[in-house]
Amino acid sequence: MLDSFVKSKENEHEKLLRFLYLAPVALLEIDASGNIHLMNGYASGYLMPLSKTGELTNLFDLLSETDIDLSELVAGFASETGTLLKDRRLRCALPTSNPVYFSLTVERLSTERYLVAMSDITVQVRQEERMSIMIEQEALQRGRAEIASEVLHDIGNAITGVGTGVNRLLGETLWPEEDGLVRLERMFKESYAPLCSTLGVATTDALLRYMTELRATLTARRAELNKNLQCTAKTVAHISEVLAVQRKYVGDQAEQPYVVMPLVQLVEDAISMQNAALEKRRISIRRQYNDESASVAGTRSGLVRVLVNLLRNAFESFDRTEMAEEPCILLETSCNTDRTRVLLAMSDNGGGFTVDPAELFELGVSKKKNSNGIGLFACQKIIESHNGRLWLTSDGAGKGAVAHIELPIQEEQGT
Amino acid sequence: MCPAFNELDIMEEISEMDDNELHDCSFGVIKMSKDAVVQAVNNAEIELTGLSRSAFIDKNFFTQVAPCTNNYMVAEKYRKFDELDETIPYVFTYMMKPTPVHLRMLKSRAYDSQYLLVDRKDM
Repeated sequence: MLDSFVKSKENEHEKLLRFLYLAPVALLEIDASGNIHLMNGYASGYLMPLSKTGELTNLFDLLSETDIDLSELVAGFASETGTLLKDRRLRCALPTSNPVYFSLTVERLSTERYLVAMSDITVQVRQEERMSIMIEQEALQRGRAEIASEVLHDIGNAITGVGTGVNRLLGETLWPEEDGLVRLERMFKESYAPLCSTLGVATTDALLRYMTELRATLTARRAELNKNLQCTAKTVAHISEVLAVQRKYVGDQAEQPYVVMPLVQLVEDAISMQNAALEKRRISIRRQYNDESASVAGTRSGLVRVLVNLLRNAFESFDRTEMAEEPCILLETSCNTDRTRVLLAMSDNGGGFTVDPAELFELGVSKKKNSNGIGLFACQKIIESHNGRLWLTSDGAGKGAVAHIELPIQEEQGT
Repeated sequence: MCPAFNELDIMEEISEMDDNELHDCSFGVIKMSKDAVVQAVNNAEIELTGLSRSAFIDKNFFTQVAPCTNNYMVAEKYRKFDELDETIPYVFTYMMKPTPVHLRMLKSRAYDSQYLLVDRKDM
């Protein structure tokens, strides 16, 4: 009977011990000088990396290089019991790894006893840091968008002025000087005989020849000018189209409305934005759109930003690589069998990569010089926010790379 | 006959001992699989901790038995290295009291099990 009672007490004791020991928060009891009297397993696990001596005897010493002076707080706390600290963030620098962060709570239990609770919040702090970078980037992006919007507006006004002038010149079908010369030439030909008797045949012929050549030269020049004006009008129209596309995306940065549009249209818009870079690098674009009508729902500017970013990654891959063949980007779209998701594969024949593709999506990781490693991280977040997937594949160095985007198909309204 | 805690080729000797022979050791011995599941624990370790054997056996040592070792100083080394024989000063929390110990971490490609030896500094 006694044995059974003792055994039962031992079991309860062990259960309590295990409960405290495995509680996923560090618990310590210290005295007013910081000496540690009791601690659980997590406390040892958290504090040992901070110990320079391999011992855990005094908490004030262990936390002496952090941003909280615990001894001062304890010394200055007048009340006999109560909370000294509640969920205060504590940053601890470690000699061999990144700093860790703890949430620290200190409770005074009696004159000489303090309960300290610490939980590891390093993951949350890292997430906050990432969010902060994202917000900063977003603000930067918006600032750039505002500037770009104003610049595009000014360029648009100037281009409209140029277009109006060119069209006015094109509308002037006949120059009055040329018309006058034609009439003078006709009059000379009709009055050839009297002119010959007055001026002489040689002079009359010379004048007529001169007039004919002058008229022909003027006509040719007018034709040439018209041709150039037509070319200029086309260029102005093209610039206006590009500006219209750019302004469409810059304009909706602020509101980010969700719209339904064919994926192929977004791809074409992204290509038109990058036309200058494509022509400069002599990159050819091949298209294999197997389903041009597949539409997606999302923020136009967000999705185009992703596509432009992926195109630029391909350009920069070409720039970094000594190309044996002409640089080429192949764009393929396809749908799954039940037509619920559309897949875009953007393949290039550039430098490719050998690293784990997942690494390329990590914040701060980039293969490019002068890159902050936010591009692909942000792209993936944008695609994921549209319930899609973005991933990269490559057969290795020098074997090109493929960016895959999969998005849910959304039927357009009214179809 | 248990070798001394500091003996040079202790891995070879201890791996040849059966689970009962481990009780001869005056220091704590925890025998684990390569994925840290406890296979055997000797009496010295049981007495030190105040825990029953069932609290150890078939549990993941770093996460379910001794979370105080689940950091880069101990658990991470077992995960990272195939060959390991390193002794470090450490603090265990036997009966919630900070207890200075020496830990000897043993792992080798030549053996299926890995070992953690625990020697109390004040013993």
